[in-house]
Amino acid sequence: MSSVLNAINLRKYFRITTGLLGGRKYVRAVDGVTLDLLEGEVLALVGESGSGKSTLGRILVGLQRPDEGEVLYRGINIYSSGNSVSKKLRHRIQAVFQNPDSSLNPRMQIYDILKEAVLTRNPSLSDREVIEEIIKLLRSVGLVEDHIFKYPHELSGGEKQRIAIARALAVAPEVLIADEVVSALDISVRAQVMNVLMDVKEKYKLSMVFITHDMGLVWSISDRVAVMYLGKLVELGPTEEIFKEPLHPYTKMLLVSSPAAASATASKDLRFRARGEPPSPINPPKGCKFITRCPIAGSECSITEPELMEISRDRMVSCLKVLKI
Amino acid sequence: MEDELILRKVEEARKKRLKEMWSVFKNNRMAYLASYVLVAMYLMALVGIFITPYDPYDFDLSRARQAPSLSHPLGTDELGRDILSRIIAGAKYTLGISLMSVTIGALIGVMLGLISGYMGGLVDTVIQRAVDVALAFPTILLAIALIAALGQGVVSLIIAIAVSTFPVYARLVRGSVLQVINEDYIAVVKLLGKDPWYIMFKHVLPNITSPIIVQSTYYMGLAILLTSSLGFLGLGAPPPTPEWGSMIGSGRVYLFSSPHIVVSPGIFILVTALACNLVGDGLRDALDPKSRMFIRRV
Amino acid sequence: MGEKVLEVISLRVYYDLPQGTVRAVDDVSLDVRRREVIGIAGESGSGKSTLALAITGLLRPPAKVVSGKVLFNGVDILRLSEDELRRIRGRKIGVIFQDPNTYLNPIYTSGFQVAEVFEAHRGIHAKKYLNEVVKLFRLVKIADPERRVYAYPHQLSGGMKQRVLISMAIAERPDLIVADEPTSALDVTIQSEIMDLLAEIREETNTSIVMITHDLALLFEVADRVAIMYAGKLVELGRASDLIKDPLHPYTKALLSILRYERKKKLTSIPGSIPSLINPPPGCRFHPRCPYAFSKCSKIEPKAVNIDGRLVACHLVGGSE
Repeated sequence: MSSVLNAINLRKYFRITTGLLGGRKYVRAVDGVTLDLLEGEVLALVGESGSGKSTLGRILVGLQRPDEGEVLYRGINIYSSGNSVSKKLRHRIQAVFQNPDSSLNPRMQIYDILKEAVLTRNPSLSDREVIEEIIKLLRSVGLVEDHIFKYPHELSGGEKQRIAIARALAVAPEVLIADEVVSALDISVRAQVMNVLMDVKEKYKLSMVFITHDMGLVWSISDRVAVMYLGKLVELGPTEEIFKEPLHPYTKMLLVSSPAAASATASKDLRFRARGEPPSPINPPKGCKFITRCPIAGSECSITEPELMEISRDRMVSCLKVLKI
Repeated sequence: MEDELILRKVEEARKKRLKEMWSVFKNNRMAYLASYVLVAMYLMALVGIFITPYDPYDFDLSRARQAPSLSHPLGTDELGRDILSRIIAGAKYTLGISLMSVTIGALIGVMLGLISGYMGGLVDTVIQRAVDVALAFPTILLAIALIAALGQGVVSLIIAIAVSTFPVYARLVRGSVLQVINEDYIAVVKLLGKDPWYIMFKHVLPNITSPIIVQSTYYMGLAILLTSSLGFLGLGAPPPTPEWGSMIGSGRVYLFSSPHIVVSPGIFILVTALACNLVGDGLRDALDPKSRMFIRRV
Repeated sequence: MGEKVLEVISLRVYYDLPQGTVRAVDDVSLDVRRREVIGIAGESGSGKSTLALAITGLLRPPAKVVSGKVLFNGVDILRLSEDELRRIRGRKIGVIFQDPNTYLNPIYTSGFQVAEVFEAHRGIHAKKYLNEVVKLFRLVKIADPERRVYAYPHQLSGGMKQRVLISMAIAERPDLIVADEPTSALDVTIQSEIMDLLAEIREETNTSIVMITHDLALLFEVADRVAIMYAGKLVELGRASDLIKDPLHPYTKALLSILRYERKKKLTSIPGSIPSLINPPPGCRFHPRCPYAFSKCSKIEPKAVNIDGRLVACHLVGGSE
């Protein structure tokens, strides 16, 4: 399978100033991430808040220029053309975000919101063709024509997220970055929206990066999983293998502490029941960043920072303990 | 469904939304009443010169400083001119100057604030430091200095007030822009590849209009007071222009012997400025989409 | 089974809004026994948060109690004055809320704020209680408690702040802890830790816990009994193990099947959306979304029936036919 999107050694530090004379400090949101998105796959990007998964999502979609590294869409660097992302590529990568209340312009009717997207792709369409297109989009996300006249505040959270999905589809993208799209929704609605998302993924032949903290959803929809901890990838591999045999102690912790994943994972080792919280990304520990919470850390872990290494076909992990064995 | 029907329904929904806003505004009794007062004041400014009972400039020392009577309902001033006629004729100066200056100040301030907030970085720093400098001057001193430099007259008055209002707009708009550009719908429009000007005017501006409009009504009130203050200081519209502030200024000598000369224009200034503020309050509620939101669940 | 600490009897709480009357809690009965963790689960608009407010005596207008009682140790909380309530709340009933940030004052140290709880109920100056606060912090597993009592809220992580809030809730060894979405603002890894902590606290302090959440998976891990609410109604109440094994109400069934994530299969979903509580559907409120609904469901409201200690409100169950 060929890859649609290649992220190469991405780095994004956010500068924070502390006090008037305080020195410069950096939050290492994304710290050297290399990742491929294969054609037609769903790549789940998981981690706690502060792991940098959302920042990585924003870099991949073209909203956040990385300090270092590049994002290649079909071999072309999307950040290459001076200041703004190359316009022709622009439409090929779209995103849907977490907060349904923030994703739609409150002053615009659904008609205007979708019309804008439809016309962006094909500016020469007549009113009639625009309406046909809008209706087609609404139907594909399970909504009806009556939604055209609504304003965002007249819709429920689930309906808003469907509109956000429809808008992303309007420009016929190839890659969709879905950042916690259902985590703000009620459980019964969550399943509806997830099903819509997976339907359109098939129908429009999308490749998708699915950012989430819900291991149950990861199990149910993803092909591969990338686990992030404090700005770094710590494990990467096919979903079934990761759930069957997680290698990195952090991955084990995520799986053990997630009730939703309980039925799916073979990992039940209670040593890995979560303890402590991630250290501040401003002052990460020396050596392996997970050392403060790791139940199997040894003395070498505080000295050497492990690299992400391929340990078998398609599986990568960065842990000294695992690599040594 | 027919396409035309859909387009018509889109239009209907748009109108319904405006109607909703209007009904929220109408429910605020004080604001609704104040809006009528304002309309009346501006009508007076428009047609004033044709409805004055006397010629506002016609002086006759023999009937100077007459108390209010049937023939002169608000009395006469120190030169024997009919005060009611002067107030009616003067509305166009006081209200015109404040409207013009706030409009100009708002236009400049909104542009600067939009650019400043949206572009960020060096542009933002430069604009905001300039705004800091402008804000550092007390409003009235800045206006006085400008009028001293430009010479007395209606145009310099408008410029002076506009210059002292725009920095506040620039600040206000920048703040609102910073809130709005963090919304996901802005990120999504960027993903459509739209250029910054399109995003600024099509998506950011409509979402910050309510603070701008509300601020403008408050500033209208303030500008009326400022116009009047400058008039009072003798820096406003030159005599014999019946500008309200100037009327108070020239009548202040007789404050104790003939208070009606000062009180009548004073009341008009007060009522207009108050009406502006009340309308501002009403608009703030009406323009907030959340205040009309149908509460589906608790 | 232990004695009843809390008893909610046919409680109705409505909100009078300009748009109409929201029937947020509509004829709900339930009891909490000593040393029991009872979970109340529901989606937004189910009325679970209103129920929490009623139990803690925190209902404020436009909410009004239309009928019913909330008996805490035999006393009706709804009839107490604000003063009497304050004496019970914090001392006999501990409360934990969703977002610790809004409940900790940024200008005081965390230790002082916990000590204030003692001050409020015992009337001696807060500073005298620092030792007890350190003990409490140890109980809620805050590392390095001697130092942390002097930490300001912004120096603590989200999970740590929630622990501080829990320590406040258990400071006076209450008979009942009401936790309203205690982990929703936290990361998955930290959620499980907090849940473990609450379970341990129950063991150590013999308190009862009412846990209100939308996170069913988490709830079934810790709760002894679970109540499922839908659109202001209690639809099923029973032992957590029974509910998981054999859900009786169609809504419970649907919720549980959503939680069974199957690899690369469509997720089970409930069609339609949560109804408005101003104009709830007639009859059974779940009937428009229910796959088993028949004609009776849209006309007659099902009464809760007791089946082997389990309450279910559904026409399909309990053979009233």
